[in-house]
Amino acid sequence: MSDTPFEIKDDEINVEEIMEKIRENIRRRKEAGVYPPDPDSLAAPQAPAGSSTDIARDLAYLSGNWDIQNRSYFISSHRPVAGKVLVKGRELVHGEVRRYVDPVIWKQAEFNRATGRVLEEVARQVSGVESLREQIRDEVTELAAQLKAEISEEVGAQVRAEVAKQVQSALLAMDTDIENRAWLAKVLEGRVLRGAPGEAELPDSPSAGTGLNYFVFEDQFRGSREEIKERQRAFVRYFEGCSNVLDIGCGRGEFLELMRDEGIGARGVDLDETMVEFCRSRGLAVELNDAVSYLEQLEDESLDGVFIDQVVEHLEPAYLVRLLELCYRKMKFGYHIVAETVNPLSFVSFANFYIDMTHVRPVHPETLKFLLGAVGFREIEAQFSSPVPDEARLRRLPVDEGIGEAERLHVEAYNRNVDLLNGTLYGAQDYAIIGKK
Amino acid sequence: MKIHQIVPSIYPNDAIGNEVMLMRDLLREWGYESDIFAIDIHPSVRARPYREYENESSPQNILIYHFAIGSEISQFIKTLPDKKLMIYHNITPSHFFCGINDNIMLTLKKGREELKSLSQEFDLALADSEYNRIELERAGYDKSCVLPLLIDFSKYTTFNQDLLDEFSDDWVNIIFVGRIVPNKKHEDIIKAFYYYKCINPKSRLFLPGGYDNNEPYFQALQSLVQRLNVSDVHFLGKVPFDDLVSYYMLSDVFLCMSEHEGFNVPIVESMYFGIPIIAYNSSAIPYTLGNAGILVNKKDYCKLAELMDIIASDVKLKERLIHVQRERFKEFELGKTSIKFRQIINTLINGIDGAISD
Repeated sequence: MSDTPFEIKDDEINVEEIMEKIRENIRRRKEAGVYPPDPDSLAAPQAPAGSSTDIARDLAYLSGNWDIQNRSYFISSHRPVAGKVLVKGRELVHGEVRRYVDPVIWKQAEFNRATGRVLEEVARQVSGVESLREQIRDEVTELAAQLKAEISEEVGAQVRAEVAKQVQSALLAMDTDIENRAWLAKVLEGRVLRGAPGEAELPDSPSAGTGLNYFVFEDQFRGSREEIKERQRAFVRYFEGCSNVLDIGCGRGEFLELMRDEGIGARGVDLDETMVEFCRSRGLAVELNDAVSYLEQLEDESLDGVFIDQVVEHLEPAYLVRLLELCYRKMKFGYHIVAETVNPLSFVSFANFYIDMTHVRPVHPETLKFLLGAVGFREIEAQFSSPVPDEARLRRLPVDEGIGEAERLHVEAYNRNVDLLNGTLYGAQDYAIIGKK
Repeated sequence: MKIHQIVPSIYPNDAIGNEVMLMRDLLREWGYESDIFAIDIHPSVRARPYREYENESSPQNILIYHFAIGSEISQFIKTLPDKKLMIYHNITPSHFFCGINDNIMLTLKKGREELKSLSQEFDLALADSEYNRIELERAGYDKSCVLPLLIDFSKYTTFNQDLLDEFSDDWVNIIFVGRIVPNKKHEDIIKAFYYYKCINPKSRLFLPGGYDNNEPYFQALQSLVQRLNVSDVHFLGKVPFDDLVSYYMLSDVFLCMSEHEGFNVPIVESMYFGIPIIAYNSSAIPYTLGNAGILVNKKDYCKLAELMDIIASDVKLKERLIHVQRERFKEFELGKTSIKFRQIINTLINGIDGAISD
């Protein structure tokens, strides 16, 4: 073998010239980085012979070598005379040996074949499972990332919405508060600038001369507008289908709002300027006037309902009678008047009566019933409301099954007394007299 | 007169099988009664079980034994009185199959032993290359001569148009034809192509050839291709004859890295199809190549890739190489080889002491 890498046995071809060109090209391409890495550094030397841990190769070896039966054995002899005898003899021995050996060899070959096939199948399945695992891992990773993004987006959106809602409602409450206060300040300021208005025309409002702003007082002691509206809801049923209900002493307009919500036409009259302005700011039809003067202006039998809430206790008896008479005259036949006031039969409300300095005197339910009946109203009924919560009342004793007769009588007597005391001390705080023209 | 042939196995589209059938046809043409006897017979081939030859055997017959692997025929023919002619196609050294296929290893080893034990059995031993003849001489055969493998190139006219349509483009196609067996060193071809692919990305490697019983080797080659991450390597398996012709027609360079060949038909086929040959200098290769093609003394993959690039791009060089190959091809034309074969038969009939002219 020659030393030159290539040999061309043709005088017309200059091998050296080709070699030079090859060397030049190699130098140029090496500089340009065209060549890939050395194949032997990338792969184990590819000598097919020799040991290998490569399972695929071993499996392939098994598939080609499972059959260990030797079929190439052939008995013969080239000796002209003795040959035939020798062959016969060797065939005899060979046959005897094979009788024992062949089944074993055959079994082993079959075992090898089966084992090879099973291993091949297992390897195939394992590689299938491997690729499936890879695929699943990729999918799960992708899904997890997707889910994470979705969750953080959704949770973020929820949190933002909740925060926005809370902030919005807090802001709204603050706005309302600020609005109310600003409005009140404006009204008071305007009034200071103008001097006391309507002194000539109107009688004093209950708080006049007390230096008390009845709006601020009610805000603190009467309870929130929502609470009052809730209590007054019980009387809405008397005015169903009406279109011209008058709320005498409408205050902060809770009942007028209820009427509006129910689609019932109603307006109000009040003597307190702050209250009237507040009601008007909420779009309610309210007039600043004394109730009697207001009623006098109305046409007879024009009203289809009158509501007088927490007013009668502020009035002098003569004025009250005059008011009720006017109500009767101005109402249509078959419609209701509802007059609610503090219940003096309950000690708690009777005591609390004096919290409000503008209260003149409490009116007994029977008195109010009588007055309504006296001016002409019929089907008069009383309705007690605003019970004292149980925890503020006297407690009854439970009547156990196992107690003796005497003891039971004691407990019953005790409980009867408790009920009487509860009725007197902690009875309903308000009552309403309802009459029909 | 009867001139029969005996061979361990006979398959179509196989170098030895093709020659056996061609010889039978020639012998019949020349007026001899001629049959093929074999152990392993492909269904498409007309041949008889070798044991039947006992009934045909006669001192007046000539029996041609094609020898390439160990088999029971070697013992069988020893008992026959016929005039015997061996045609030695060489036996691949068994070490190539170590760890690949133990059975092949065993039969190859036995073949070598049989070759020695048969040295006195033949009236004449033929070798299809000088390399094989030297082996015969070393094995103790006194009377030997070279008869190049008989190939009928008149059959190389059918081709697969679909393949031609698929691959006819401006790409450079490198080809090697041969079974996927370890001595053919496909891994070296792949490594050289690995470099060439970087020089010219528009290139393919065609590797037609079956890999039955050599799965571990095939497996290793596939994993090599995978590890080198080299694309356009086509392991085509055993292909029909039409397809083989088409792949030759499509190819620009024939690259052989084999380290053991008794003759190597694809080199002669490449001469026929006008494909420049680059072949590693081993065993029978330089004898088959003669003064044609390019012999490789050292497997330097990088230089081989550059050489392929020069051949593919230098038209003048390519034409000159093809020209010399065509001259060399004349030695293998059936017209010439069949005359020599007939001379040998005549000599055998008339007495072996007559001269055999080249």
